[in-house]
This record gives sequence, C-alpha cells and structure tokens, in this order.
Amino acid sequence: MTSQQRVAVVSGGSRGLGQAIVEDLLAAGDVVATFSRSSTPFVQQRLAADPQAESFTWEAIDGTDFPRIKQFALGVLRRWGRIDVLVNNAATGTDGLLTLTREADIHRQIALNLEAAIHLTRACLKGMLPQRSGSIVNIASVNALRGHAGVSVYSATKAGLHGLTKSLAAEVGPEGIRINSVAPGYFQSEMTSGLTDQQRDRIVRRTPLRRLGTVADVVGLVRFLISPESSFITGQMIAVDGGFTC
Amino acid sequence: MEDVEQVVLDVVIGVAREKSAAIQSVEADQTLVDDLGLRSLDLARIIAKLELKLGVDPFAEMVAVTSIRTVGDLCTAYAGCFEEDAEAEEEAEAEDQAGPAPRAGGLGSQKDLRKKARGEP
Repeated sequence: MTSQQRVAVVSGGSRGLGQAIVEDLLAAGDVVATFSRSSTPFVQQRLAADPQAESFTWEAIDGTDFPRIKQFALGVLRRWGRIDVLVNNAATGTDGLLTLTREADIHRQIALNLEAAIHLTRACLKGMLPQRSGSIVNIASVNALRGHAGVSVYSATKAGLHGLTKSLAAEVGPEGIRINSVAPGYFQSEMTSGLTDQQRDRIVRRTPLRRLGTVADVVGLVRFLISPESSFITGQMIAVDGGFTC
Repeated sequence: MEDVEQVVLDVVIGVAREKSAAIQSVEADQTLVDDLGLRSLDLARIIAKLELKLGVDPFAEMVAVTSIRTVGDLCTAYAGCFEEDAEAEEEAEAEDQAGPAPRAGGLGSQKDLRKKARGEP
C-alpha cells in the first residue's frame, strides 16, 4: 500500500450503486473493503484478480449483524492501519402502504438502512478519530426530501440517515472528519427496471433536466465528496435528481 | 495487568501532549478534564486508540463513560475488561477447538488483537 492510497469501506458493494462506487475507488487506486449478504460475479472476479487482497477485500455479512460489521471495520484497521473513507450504501426497501407492510419488513429496513449505518460509522470512527481525518458519505434518497406514497418506512430511514449526517458533522468536524449525504433520485438501475414506460415517462416529464439519472451521476458526486475538492463541505444533503425535488 | 495500565497511560500522555507539550507524565489521581484539559472528543480519541491497541472497548456495554473522571478510573475500566475477558476467552478457545478453522484471507478476529496487545503469538 502506498501513502497516497486511501482506505475505503463501502457497505453493500457487491452490486448496483455500491458496485459502481467500489469500481470507481479501485480505478482511483484506493484500497476497498466491502461486504454484502451474498457474493456476485463482480465480487468473484475482483477476488480472483487480487488473491492476496492487496487492494480489495470482501466478506459475506448481513448488514443487520451489528457485531460482525463492527469486527469488519476493526479488521480493516488492523490490516491497513487506517480508514479514510466510509460510504454507507447498503439498503433495502419494500413498496407498499404502511398499514399493509409486514412488521418484519419495517424492522429490517430500519435495521439495515439506519441502524447498521450508525454502527458501521461508529466503528470506522475508531480509525478516523485517532488519525484526525476522514470522509463519510451516506447514501440517502430523494424520499428523505419529498414524500411519496408507499415508501414511508424507507423514507423515514433515509431522513434518519441525514439526521445522523448533520449531527455527526457537528460532532466530529473539529477532528477534521467530514460527513455528507447524497440523495439520488430516480436513476437507471435494477431499482427502476420494474417501472412501466408510462411511469418512466411521467418521472422524466417531472424532472427539469428531462431524463432519468445514471449510476455515473451518483458516483461522480460521491467521488467529489470524498476528495480534497470538497474539504469545506460537511453536514450537507445533496440531491442528484435532475432537479426533481427543486 | 501492569502492561494494560502502561498502554492506557501511554495513550493518555500522547493525547494530553497534543494539548500541552509541557506534559511529561500523568498520575492516576489527575482528572482528565480539569487537570489535563481534555475535552470529550479527546476522550473519544483515547478510547478509539485504546480499542485498536487492546482490542476492547469497556464503554460499549460494561462501563458508563460518565463515570470516568481520573486517569486511574480509565486504567481501572480497562483492567476490569481484561479480567472478565480471560474467562470469555477460555470458553471461546474451547469452542474454537470444536469449530471450523477461520476463513483464509479474512481480516482476523478481536481475540487475535487482544493476544497481540499482550504480546502473545
């Protein structure tokens, strides 16, 4: 590992947006440690390309297993001696009216989307506080900014995540640690693959920039928020939604 | 246990010296806030550093951090953690002998770190 390499922890980095963030960090030459409930072809390919885990490591961990995610973060600190970046990306969501949502689904969304992020952040701060530097990005959602029927629990967890962002930014800012939220809108992904053409057209019509977002739009903002170029930005929620919430 | 106390003292001195280079040593009866001028974030950094060195965080469950006033209180909290830890490790080692081997390439366990802190192989 070189002195220029950052050590990044990304939750849920095996597919979708998390995978894209991991790929971007690796392309920048950073060390990436990620975990997810199950492996994917992307993870297998990366592990095969780096059998000594010099710049990429992955473990099969359910994000709601809080003791294990804490151990994962401490393991990264033992292996590489520091954590420079944390991206709280892992999340789950179920669509449906609140009164028709199973209690187990409510619990799992709160546990994975919010509580796991709090525990992982707490563990990663054990490295960032002694080194007096670090950047944390919480992947929130435009649902934290604007109400939409059928996603009340998901919205609550993402708004909660931004509450964490704001208060923790005030708390650890004096130690040189920044924390921000990214709020993606509708972007082309597995998440929106189930939309009908009619639903997709309606979203595009309501978006001032007249298109769905892309994973690259979101990754670009994450890249900026963990870079020195954003060194005076903390405690903020930035929407990447083509103006959908403006 | 003396080693654990020395690790705690070394970390406290290190953080205290960042505040005041004049500090050469610390005593058990010195208060962290009034005598050493440490803030709550400094205490958070001390606890984070000690968790990395010793592999334990007594304030996660066992001890209320608000009960810590002096350097001696901090040493006692960590010493107590290792006393309880010895029994737990005996049980864990018995389980290890019966269970599967650790996954190759994994990031290691908390137990490994505690052994390392005590200079054990």
